Amino acid sequence: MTTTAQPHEHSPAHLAWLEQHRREKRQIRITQVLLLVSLLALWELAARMKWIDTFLFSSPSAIVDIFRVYFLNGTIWAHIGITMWETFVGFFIGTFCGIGIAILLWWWPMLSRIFDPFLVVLNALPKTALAPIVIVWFGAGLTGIIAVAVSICIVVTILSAYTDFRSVDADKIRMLESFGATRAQILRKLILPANRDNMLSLAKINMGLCLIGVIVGEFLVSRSGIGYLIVYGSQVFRLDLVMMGVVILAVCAWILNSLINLLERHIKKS
Amino acid sequence: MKTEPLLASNHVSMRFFHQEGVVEVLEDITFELEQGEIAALLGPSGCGKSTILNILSGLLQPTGGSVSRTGSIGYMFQRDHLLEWRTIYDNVCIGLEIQKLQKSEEHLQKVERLLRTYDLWDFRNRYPTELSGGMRQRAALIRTLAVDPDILLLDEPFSALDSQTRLIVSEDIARIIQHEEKTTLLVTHDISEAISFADTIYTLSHRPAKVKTTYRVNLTTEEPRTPLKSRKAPEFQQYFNTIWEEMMQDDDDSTTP
Repeated sequence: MTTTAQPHEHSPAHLAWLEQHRREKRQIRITQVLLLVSLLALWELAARMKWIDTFLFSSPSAIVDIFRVYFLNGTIWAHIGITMWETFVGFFIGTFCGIGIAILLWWWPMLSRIFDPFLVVLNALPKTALAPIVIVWFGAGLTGIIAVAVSICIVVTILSAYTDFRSVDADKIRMLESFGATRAQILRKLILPANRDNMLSLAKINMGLCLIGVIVGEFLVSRSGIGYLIVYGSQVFRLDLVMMGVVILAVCAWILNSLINLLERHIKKS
Repeated sequence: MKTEPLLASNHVSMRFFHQEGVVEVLEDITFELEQGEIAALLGPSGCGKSTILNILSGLLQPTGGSVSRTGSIGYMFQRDHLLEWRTIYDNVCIGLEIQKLQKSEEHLQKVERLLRTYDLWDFRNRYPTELSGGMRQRAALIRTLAVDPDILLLDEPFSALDSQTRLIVSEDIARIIQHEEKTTLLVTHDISEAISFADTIYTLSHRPAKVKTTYRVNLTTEEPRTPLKSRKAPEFQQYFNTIWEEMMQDDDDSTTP
């Protein structure tokens, strides 16, 4: 039987250990902030002292200036909103359809044997190469961009989920069959719950892949979105605009990742 | 008058087809299992015991011979196969859920009685990882008994356990089977396990397997008979030696061309 650690609330040794732990965490956080601030300061200094060409490298203050313009006239929210929306929709379609198709492959093993080589080739192919075709097929707009995002994440979702489904212990399936379980019952009571954590980590990867797909799509066709800001900025040689786009994108990626982590924690608790 | 056997295997044979050719796994498996009897199929590792169980439980069709069965089958595996995301109670009820009996008052009462009788009631809300190997195996047996099968098939149910736990668990399982009066077929490669557990032992040959000898086990022990008491019976060693020699001889036969 397993023994669980009993919390000793007032044990001095434990308190000392906690204090030590907290101090280490604080030190790491301080170092991280210092590192970021000094890098930004160095960049700004180099720009002001003309050590670097601001036409090519821009500077933190210029990025803040242009951000203020976009922020004050409110257009920044439209760009962020459209990119996030495209990412969300692509994420849901890619993840759910991908897992759905993986279920179909698991249900009819014949199907998986037929599609196996096609999926393997599609998976090995850099999906960004498909983006121009997808845009032509689905139109140069929201739909096209979402389709690019889906095309990037769906194949890897299908393959990973199917592999996960197949890796469930065959004897556990036999155990359910010995009670007379149907294929649907095996799926619901064994395959899906056994792979809950695997599907959550798939979702995490998909969020990142969808953001890549959306940015690639926006590079190709859009009139708005963060990808559009970046590509437009580089075309008119406004490096401050490009840098701002990248920074906003980093923040968006971080927010999306936190949302997924939140979801994960919520699911694991229940 | 002889009662109809619950389970009978008549000259069952089985061959599997592979890319490389045909593999004869079973040649002639014939035996009967009567109401209340505990029988053992004793064979060397890899002789096709799992194939026999799959045929008896209807998961596989034999290529020759036939199986007649007049009752439902409960299967107990080498490993417990408890689902780690379900509590012990929900694990035990999974068979009922599958057969859509999870709301049947009668079956739920049976589950409660089994859990209480075999000391798992206090652990019903725990998860499998919190239980010892012996408790997990008991839970697995209760899961099988919950759907009230007429015949129990035990597929080397102790071989995944360490030797200490093994004795305790086989004592537990034997007690439960006797108490619930279940007709049981034990499949094993362990000679002493077969003698200590079963009333009748059918020894199997190497591949392709056939039933070689039938032993009726008569031990002088005080009632109720348990595996541990059986191991201490004076006749135990005699049975062991006879069966051991027979199986060794079979080894020689199979190695000489």
